[in-house]
Amino acid sequence: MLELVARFLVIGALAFGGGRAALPLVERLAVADTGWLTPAQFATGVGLSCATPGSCATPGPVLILAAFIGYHVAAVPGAVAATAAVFTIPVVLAGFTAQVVAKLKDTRWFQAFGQFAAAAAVGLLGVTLLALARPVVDVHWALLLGSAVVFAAELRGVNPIILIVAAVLLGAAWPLIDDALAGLYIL
Amino acid sequence: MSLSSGAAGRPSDITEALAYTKPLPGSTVVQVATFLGWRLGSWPGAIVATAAFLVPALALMTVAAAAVLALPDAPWVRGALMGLQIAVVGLLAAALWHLTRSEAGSALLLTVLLAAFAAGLFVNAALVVAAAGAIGVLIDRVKRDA
Repeated sequence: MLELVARFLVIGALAFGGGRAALPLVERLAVADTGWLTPAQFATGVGLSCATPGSCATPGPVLILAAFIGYHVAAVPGAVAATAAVFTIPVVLAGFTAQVVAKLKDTRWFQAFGQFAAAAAVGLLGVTLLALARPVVDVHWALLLGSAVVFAAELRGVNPIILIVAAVLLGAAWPLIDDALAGLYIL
Repeated sequence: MSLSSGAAGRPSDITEALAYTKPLPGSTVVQVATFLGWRLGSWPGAIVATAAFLVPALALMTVAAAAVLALPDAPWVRGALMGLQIAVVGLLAAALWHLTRSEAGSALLLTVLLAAFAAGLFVNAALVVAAAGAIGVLIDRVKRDA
């Protein structure tokens, strides 16, 4: 539990570029470093975080993913503790910013730090993408064609929630479709 | 507590909140809620606004996590979760696309992005972010002195 809180505090402090850019930090922490979640479970959490208020289309509170991971580690207390931890530093900073109206923002070194840290976070998102694509490829590489369709649809402005629901329904129906195709093959 | 009324209720407050919280680490939308809460009622206001913004999402996510863990190991469940993973990979690729365009506006930042990707394959992610920030500060110093 202590480790959970400590690690999410660090993520909150380093989440330059908004919640979505912090995704790789969360993935490294929960999957690669600690093995708290499998890549499949993490992907489920990311999918769910797109469906909670804030959504994943805007750089919204993807950090609410902390609740999902916290729950996996230590049930409801874990969910609450991880969420509180990940938002503590950003929220305190935002409060202070309101107080001193952006003294920090006008500090040159802080701006330079944030700019480079945000660019690095986006680069790390590439690593997360590889980590999440891997279990899909392990089942069958052609499944990535489905990801390509989702990618193209999102860029054309289709709502991510619709894409997720469609993919889940298609996946749930797949055993039936597979049976039907096998039946056709035998005929 | 509506934003269209009261001393802190000008639309320009939201724009200001956005501008000031964007460079900070963390979810910007949450920080806008904190910022406006502070305007309305100092620290207690900030805490109440933030909690009110986060609690519904936290509750939903906790219920969702519990539901996912309680799912039976049936073919349709495995299919649905695989479908979700496939969609998330596509959405993440789209996020990467958008963020690269918004965060890597110069050749220098694009280099940082690519270097962070390469480093991230071997080094702890938090270290990569902190190191990139430190390099940014150094480069800024050198530029200013030159």
